[in-house]
Amino acid sequence: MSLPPYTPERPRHPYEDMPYTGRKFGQAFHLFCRGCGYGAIGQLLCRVFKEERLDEKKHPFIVGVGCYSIIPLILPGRIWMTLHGRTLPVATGIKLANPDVTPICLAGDGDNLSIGTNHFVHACRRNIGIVLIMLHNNIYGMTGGQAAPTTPHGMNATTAPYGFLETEFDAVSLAISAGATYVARWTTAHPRQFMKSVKKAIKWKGFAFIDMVSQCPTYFGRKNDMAQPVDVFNWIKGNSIPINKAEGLSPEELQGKFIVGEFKESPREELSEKYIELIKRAREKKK
Amino acid sequence: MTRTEIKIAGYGGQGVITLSKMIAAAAILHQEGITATQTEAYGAQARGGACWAEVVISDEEMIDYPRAIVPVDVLMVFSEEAARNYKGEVKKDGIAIFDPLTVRPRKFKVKAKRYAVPANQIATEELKMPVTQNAIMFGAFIGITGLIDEESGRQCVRDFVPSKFIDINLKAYERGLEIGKKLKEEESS
Amino acid sequence: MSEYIYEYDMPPGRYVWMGNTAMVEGALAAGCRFFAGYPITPQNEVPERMSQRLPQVGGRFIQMEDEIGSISAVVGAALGGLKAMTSTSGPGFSLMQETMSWAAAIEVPIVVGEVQRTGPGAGIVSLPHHSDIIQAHYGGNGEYQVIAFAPATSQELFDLTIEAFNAAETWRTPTIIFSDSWLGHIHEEVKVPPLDELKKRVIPRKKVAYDAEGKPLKRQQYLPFTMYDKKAGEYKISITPNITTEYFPEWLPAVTHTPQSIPNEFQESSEIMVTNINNKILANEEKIVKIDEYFTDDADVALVCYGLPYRTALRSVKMARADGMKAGLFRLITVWPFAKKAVRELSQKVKKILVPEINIGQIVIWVEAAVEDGTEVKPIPAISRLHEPKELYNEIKEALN
Ligand SMILES: Cc1ncc(C[n+]2csc(CCOP(=O)(O)OP(=O)(O)O)c2C)c(N)n1
Ligand code: SF4
Repeated sequence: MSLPPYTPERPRHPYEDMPYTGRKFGQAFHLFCRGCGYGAIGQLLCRVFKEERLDEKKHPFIVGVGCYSIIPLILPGRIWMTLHGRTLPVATGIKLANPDVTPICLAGDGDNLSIGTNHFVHACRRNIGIVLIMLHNNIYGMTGGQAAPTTPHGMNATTAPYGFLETEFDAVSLAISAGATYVARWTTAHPRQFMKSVKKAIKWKGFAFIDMVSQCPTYFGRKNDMAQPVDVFNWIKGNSIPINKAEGLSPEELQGKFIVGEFKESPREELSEKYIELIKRAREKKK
Repeated sequence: MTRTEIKIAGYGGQGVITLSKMIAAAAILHQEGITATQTEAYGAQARGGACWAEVVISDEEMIDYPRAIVPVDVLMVFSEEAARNYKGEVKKDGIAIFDPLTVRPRKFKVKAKRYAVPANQIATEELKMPVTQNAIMFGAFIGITGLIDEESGRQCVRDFVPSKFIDINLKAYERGLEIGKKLKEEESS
Repeated sequence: MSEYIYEYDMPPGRYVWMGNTAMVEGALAAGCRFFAGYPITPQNEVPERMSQRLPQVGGRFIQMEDEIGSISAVVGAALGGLKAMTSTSGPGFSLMQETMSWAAAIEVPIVVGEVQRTGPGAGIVSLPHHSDIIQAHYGGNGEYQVIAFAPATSQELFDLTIEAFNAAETWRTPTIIFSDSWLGHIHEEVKVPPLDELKKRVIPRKKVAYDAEGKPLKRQQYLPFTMYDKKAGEYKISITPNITTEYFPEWLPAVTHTPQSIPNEFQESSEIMVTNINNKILANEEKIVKIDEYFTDDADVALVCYGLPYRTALRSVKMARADGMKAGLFRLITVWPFAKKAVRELSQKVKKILVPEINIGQIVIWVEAAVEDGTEVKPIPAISRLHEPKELYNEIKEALN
């Protein structure tokens, strides 16, 4: 295909056309910035897909709007890009209509914790069989580095030039208290654990949430004195604490840290399966 | 092309809406050759506020204008406020029905023929069940107006009330019918 | 999944149904098996009845967290293989606009029941007001077309809801059913025909796409989106994608894309996409538009209306005719796409056109734009109320003097 693919809202980055494992439309490149974590995440998801021999009809990717919207250039299977923040309700429609399908949603932190928070907490509460991987890069990448609900307090963004005044969201606690049944957090520094988690989430009966911390060198890095992609990566790596080590630490010590690990695994009845039961009951009652 | 315009008014909770629905259902489901349209003051029924409902009964295939055209043929009022508001909206040769317990006759002076149906009193004193006043009014309406067959009315009562209360409501209906027919006879004699 | 989907089960016969109920039953008869909604008066009876009835026919009901969630879930279920709808009223309808625009862009057949209430703001829930006629068409971002039906009786809410689903399936664009708080709560007779008769009226969701020779298309041959066929001079609308079958593109974008579903930023692509999704409707205006005319052949003045005012107008026109006045009635059964051609033809017949609407005048602008021969057009607005027959009768009388 001779047409170049869609480019995001943000300006072209000089390193954008770096070769990568693009597989779609015969193009051998992706469009993420140099050192962006999204490329690696796409790769890892590719590997999960291959290793688990997933059926693309059973595991469609539902993608929101953000830098990661061009992840289809890397990902296998079928990808449905939805509107900003609306991955979960769309996936809810698919799942209820087809209980044997488990959609995998990719949403950004802005997507999932700002414009789509309402859908997020309710999907957790319903325990509907969807996998949600939240790409957590602490910033709005696509629109040019504005503050996100995950921007750590005091750090800079294009709409927080004097440091972010507000407190960031902890998506993991939110998901747990809202009722998600599988909750984990990993970072791009934990690729193997992330893959394992995704494999588990795909088989999970219920709502599985993975908070995936990733680096955005172009905006988050440059705004916060981390000139090289590897600096942001190291910042994430240096700030992550495994869940078992975090247990003994005080809230002050945990301030600004990424606690990683599996936080919750407590099965509960899944919504679409319950609905099939309801259909049987309703038809029984009608007779 | 004959249309009969019916207006019922009172307070929410007095059965205004139910009565209108019974009339419409009897005309549509249980009687050949006529159809009906019911509209109501939507949202007021459960809240005790002023409340009205209208029924248009017609032998046309489709009823065009869905609301009762003023002046109406039949006006039923269950509160003095409703009586005050709508007493001017009934035809001179029309029918005006009211419950003397809730509307004092001197507050409801109309040119139309006026019928007092003590539905509330019968329901509480005779039948010991206030909700049956609806079936009484319904019976009286049929007895006075003759718009619907008595048997259609009976079937409609059966459809509308929970199976436990069918007997008492049918009894109420018959009482209403009787009163209605008697009032009608007195009128003509 | 499909093993749980059952046929429509309402025994044929006469029913007394409120408008909202008739809409639900019409949808179920049309094969709707998914509903997502959010409570808002005066449409609450729609989700209530859906929640009871859908499981009985194997459908799925969900009450979402808001209207945005509702319509998004409907889009998801629609491409998940089910006929799907939502319903709402004014404020909720506004929230749905972004997704409506997206649904039009990716050509998803969805149906939205709009039980209108008074606005702006929260307005009044219990009064009828056709306040969202223009919003339905122009409320979303970007340029797209919707199909909108305006029933006026409970029976029509049943029948036209079936038509709305058929239109959505055929033309693959958001389809709206305009009701209002009075029509939604009117209790009237609805005749439900026998199942085999109903089946003949329903266009089912197509699962397999075929080529010209009748062979099933391979995935690579399948075009997910509408394309203009130059040779045949018509728009080729392929079957709706289904995320669980072969017929789904590798990448279904929310952004501008080619008919092959390749997203890009070329002006040419935008031109092709915008033209296709609009012209597939506009070029087929005559096939989509439904109108009804009464006594217009020799009329000097005609009333143009849709929804409940049509019933008032019918009465007024009958009254006028009885008094020897040459009045006619032109009814838009579909409001969108606007029946430009038919209104133009009407304007050649009559001298004056009156447009009674339950708003300050939304369709009258379109009538004015369509008329020829200097036909005079006069709006007759009524705010949050039904016109009275006498009122329109007097307007007719005045127009003829
Ligand atoms: C309704 C709506 N509002 C705003 C936008 C603009 N927008 C596109 S992407 C985006 C933020 C994406 O941020 P995030 O989800 O964190 O993803 P990232 O780009 O950081 O990967 C915004 C605000 C939009 N597309 N739609
Ligand atoms: S802007 Fe940030 S998140 Fe977006 S591609 Fe570049 S590095 Fe990645």
